[in-house]
Amino acid sequence: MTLYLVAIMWASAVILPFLWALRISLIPTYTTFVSFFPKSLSELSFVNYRYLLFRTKFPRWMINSVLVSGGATLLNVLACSMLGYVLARKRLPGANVMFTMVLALLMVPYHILVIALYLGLSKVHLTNSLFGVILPLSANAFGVFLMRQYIMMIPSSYEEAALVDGCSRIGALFRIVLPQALPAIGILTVTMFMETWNNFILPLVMLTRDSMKTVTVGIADLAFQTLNTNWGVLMAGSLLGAVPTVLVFVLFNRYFLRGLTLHGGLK
Amino acid sequence: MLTLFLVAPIMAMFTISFTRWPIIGSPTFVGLKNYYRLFQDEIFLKALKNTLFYALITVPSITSFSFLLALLLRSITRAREFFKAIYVFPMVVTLVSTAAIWKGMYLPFGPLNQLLVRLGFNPVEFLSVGLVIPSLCLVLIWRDIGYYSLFFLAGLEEIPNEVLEAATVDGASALQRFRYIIWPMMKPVTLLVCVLVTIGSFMIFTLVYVITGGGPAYSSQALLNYIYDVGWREFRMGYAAASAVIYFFILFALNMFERLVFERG
Repeated sequence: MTLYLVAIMWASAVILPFLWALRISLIPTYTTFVSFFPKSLSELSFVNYRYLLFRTKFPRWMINSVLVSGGATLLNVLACSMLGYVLARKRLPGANVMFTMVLALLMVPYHILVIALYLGLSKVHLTNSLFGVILPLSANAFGVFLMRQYIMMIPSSYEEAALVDGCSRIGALFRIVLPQALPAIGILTVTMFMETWNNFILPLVMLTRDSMKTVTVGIADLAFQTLNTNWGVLMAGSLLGAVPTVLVFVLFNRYFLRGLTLHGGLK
Repeated sequence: MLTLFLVAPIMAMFTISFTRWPIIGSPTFVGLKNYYRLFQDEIFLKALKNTLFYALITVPSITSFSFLLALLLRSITRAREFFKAIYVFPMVVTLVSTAAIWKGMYLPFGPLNQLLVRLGFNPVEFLSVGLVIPSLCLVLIWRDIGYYSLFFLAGLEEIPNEVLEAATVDGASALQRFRYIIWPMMKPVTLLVCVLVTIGSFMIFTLVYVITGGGPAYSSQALLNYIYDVGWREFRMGYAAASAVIYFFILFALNMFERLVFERG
């Protein structure tokens, strides 16, 4: 019984800050002494949300984030599947060396590379362009590793039969192998979406024009807007900006948890 | 693809680190001067020290608390999935949002201080020079232990129940069961979590950027924030690249260490 008490206590410690944020986002002006529970429903106001949606670039930031996360995730799944397939199946000379190289790159967190990436991408004029953020995120060693491991477990006789019947390699990959690798693709998709949505330092450096920002950078901007932070708007933005990842978590809970532990174990 | 986006930029970073380059115009070669200056730069050394401090606090606390949380989850039978989902929830919320919310929690008259006053304590200045790093670490602990407890939980679930039951039948106390059965079997997971948290703590950026901006008086400045400030606020790209090279070597060494650990385990 005491165990449940402890469990419930920690659960509320986890949830209460978010509830506080929700409460603050629903009052017109922030005051320190706001009671946690509203006395009546009419006390709640959506002023902050209206401000956020119509007076700031917030909707634009959300769209940018969706484009960046969606694009990077899609490219990731494509690139990682193909590379993983090649590394799993082809007996190329040096395939093992390549695989070790991929693993070595897996160890390099891209945080170190921000400067380097910035220098490289500003050379080709990709600053203030969403592509500049999507491209560096579009191949990732964890994904290659995951896809390779999974594809290696699929018996190759299926594709060989297809190849004999006149199917191309690419055709065999998309029609035969990948449909069997759906669980791995699910994990990769969910993990990558979460990760790219969370991405902060890269868009912060690459996207300086207000209308190009992703939602994470936008929220950070709201936090510094003026000397007087508008807490209601900031909290509203923080909550709305978290909605997509929370949705993905709720819908694909299982993929997400599997991916998290796998990802951590490989990093 | 990987080569294009990883190897080429790293080379560029090394080259730039030997130059003076205020973004506009072209870089001029200055040799090792950037590195020489870096090790006399008080703010850089402070950032280095702070980053070590972050690691020193978060590694032991996150590892032990998430282990405890996993033990708790393990002994709960009803609604375990529900609690798991709640505990991992902060990890799902974008870090920037979490940081913004905690910026609010730490306000001088914010909810945390109101709670302290209501419980009969004095209000605390969470973001003052002396307390700012522990305060930021608290956010990380709060956010991460649910996630890392899943690692421990997965490890715990691999311990066969029969073994524990047999030990109980043979008269082993809860403490003895932990000492002689659970702990030896959990060592690899513990190591893994330690390494992951260490690397994570060296990559602290967002939290510092949003909550304190590195202040007050650089007392919470982390390495990555330092690099960002030098490069994108002061536009000293050559100098920023030099500090990034040092940062690169630190992370590289940590990663090598990690690999060594795993090959042993």
